[in-house]
Amino acid sequence: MQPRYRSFFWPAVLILAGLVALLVNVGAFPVDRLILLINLWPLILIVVGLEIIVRRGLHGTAADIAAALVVILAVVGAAGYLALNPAPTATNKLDVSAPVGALHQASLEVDAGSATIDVSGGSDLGSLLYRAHIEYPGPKPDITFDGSTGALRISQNTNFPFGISTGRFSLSVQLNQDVSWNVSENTGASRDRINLPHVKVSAIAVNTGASSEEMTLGQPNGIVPVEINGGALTVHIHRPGGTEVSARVSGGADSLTVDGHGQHGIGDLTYDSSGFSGASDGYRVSVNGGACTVTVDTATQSG
Amino acid sequence: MNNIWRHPYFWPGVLIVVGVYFLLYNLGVLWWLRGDVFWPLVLIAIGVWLILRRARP
Repeated sequence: MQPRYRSFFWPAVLILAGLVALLVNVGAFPVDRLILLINLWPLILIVVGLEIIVRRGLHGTAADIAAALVVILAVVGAAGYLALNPAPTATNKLDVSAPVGALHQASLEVDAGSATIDVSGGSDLGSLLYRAHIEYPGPKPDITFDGSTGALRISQNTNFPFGISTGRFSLSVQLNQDVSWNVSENTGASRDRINLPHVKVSAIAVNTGASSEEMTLGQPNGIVPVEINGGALTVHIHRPGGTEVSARVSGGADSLTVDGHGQHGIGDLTYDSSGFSGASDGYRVSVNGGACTVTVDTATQSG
Repeated sequence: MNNIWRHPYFWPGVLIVVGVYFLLYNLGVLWWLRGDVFWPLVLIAIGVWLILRRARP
């Protein structure tokens, strides 16, 4: 009769869990590093595969020693990875910019999870198209810029196949005021401030979760679409006095206030300023969400 | 018949290859590898390999 196979895998898992808990409890190991363990889940596949090969290829004491070595190496490697890597919640900083060249039009696309985003016009950018300051946890963000089209994309890099991210992504970007910008954001729960009173804007599109949006816009050139899609949304849009606007809010329980004219209800709410029909310049605001509170006014900013 | 699927090291080998891929991916080593290009190439490679096996005398 063959001796019963006893794997070292589960005992090793218990020992590793006990060691980590012990180090955390005595304060020798920052708890925010534990999130790093998520990155090591493929080690389970590797260890199980190696254990099967060892058990099928070796027998007796040699198999026991090899199986133990596999587990020990995995545990030591995991411990070394946790000890040597910076904590994923630690914030790193990144400053990037690009020259404006001959561009007259450009686009900014931001893709991030939970984020704080501040987009503003830069009066002191000189020959720069944009200047961005990013504070991010975890892996470095992906930043791509096409100098021929002016397409700038800033993407939070989760570096995880299932898109798990940790910490908050913070972006502050200044845009060249002599260039016409198309701004789009795809984010999770976010707090956005788009402050572009002196920047030419061709379109704004925001796809987000439960978010707060504060936008200060300048004189429109043509009918400029401003579209915001999300969950529970709080939107404040400020425009110059006399600027025509059409606002449409749809979704669940909504509130729309344009220049002091308030509406509340469920479903679609719309408001067109008196001169919007037939106007050549203006903003066409569309907000779609679960519960939306939208104000559009001519103040410089809300309190 | 020489059936590779029943080879005692085949499935453990698959586990190890998949584990190494995802581990390197998570550690940022495979930053240069485009996932949306890589996995179709793997399917193509497996298909070509199966055809070559059948074509073998």
